[in-house]
Amino acid sequence: MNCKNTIGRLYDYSRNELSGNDKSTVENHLKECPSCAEELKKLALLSALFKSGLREPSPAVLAGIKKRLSAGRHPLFSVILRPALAMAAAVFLLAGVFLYPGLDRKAKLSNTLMNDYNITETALYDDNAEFDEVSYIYGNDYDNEVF
Amino acid sequence: MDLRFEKIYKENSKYVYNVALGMLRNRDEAEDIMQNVFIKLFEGYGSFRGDADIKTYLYRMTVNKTIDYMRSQNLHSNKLELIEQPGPQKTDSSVSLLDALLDRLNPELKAPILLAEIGGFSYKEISEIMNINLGTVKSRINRGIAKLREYADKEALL
Ligand SMILES: [Zn+2]
Repeated sequence: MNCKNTIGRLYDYSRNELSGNDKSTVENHLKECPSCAEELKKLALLSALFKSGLREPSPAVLAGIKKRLSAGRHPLFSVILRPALAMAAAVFLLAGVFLYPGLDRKAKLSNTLMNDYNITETALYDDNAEFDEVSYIYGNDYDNEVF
Repeated sequence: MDLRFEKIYKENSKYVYNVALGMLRNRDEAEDIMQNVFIKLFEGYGSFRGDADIKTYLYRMTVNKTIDYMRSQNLHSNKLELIEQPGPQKTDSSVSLLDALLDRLNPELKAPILLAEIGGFSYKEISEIMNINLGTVKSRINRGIAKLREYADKEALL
């Protein structure tokens, strides 16, 4: 293998991204070529630069996250939804103990409870409504562009 | 805040932050984007399936948001194509060697290199994070590294 081909694969080699055969070809060339071995050292220096340049984010970032999270969900969740869910669970439990096998009755009780608190299924899922960004992807292929 | 959230933040924030910082090269902007990414993650926590899923999300959102942001900032300038323009002077003490190098790369080449070097991700993982195929990751990384090496040699930086 010549130097040009080796250099083109050196970074992949340094990241352990070469498979067995390619890897040993590069290794064999490195053993007999000081200039490619030197290039590998420079890549290691480059990697070290990234590591030594790491900085800490300001503590204000975490504080801001906590603030936003505690401001975001409490009114609906802790005042209405949580007690309602707790009561619904209690009703189901009681219904299970005393009214079994009255399955219709259980469903009716829980519906009544939901109606009393004016809770719809939509409300239950509102917290995650804007979370469709989880599927946000960056699919453009820029490789045909000239950089 | 939920203890699980604290743990996720503690384990990932430094690396996520440095990827954002490497992309944007501005601390305030990097912190803003990172903060929003973590908030979105925690708000939708229930929909994630384990640590790998969370990590992919964190870095994907960070890369996407920083690229979007850079695009919006550069809408009326040619900054995204500063390929052959002179970089910052290395005599300027506020500009580190790494900064000078990173300024040579456009976002599409810079992102996969930062994910590898700072996030410690394999090419395969980077292809999942960036939603591009493995060959594209490999070619972008190698093109980016070749540019960095060429610039470093020209300026005798390494
Ligand atoms: Zn050689």
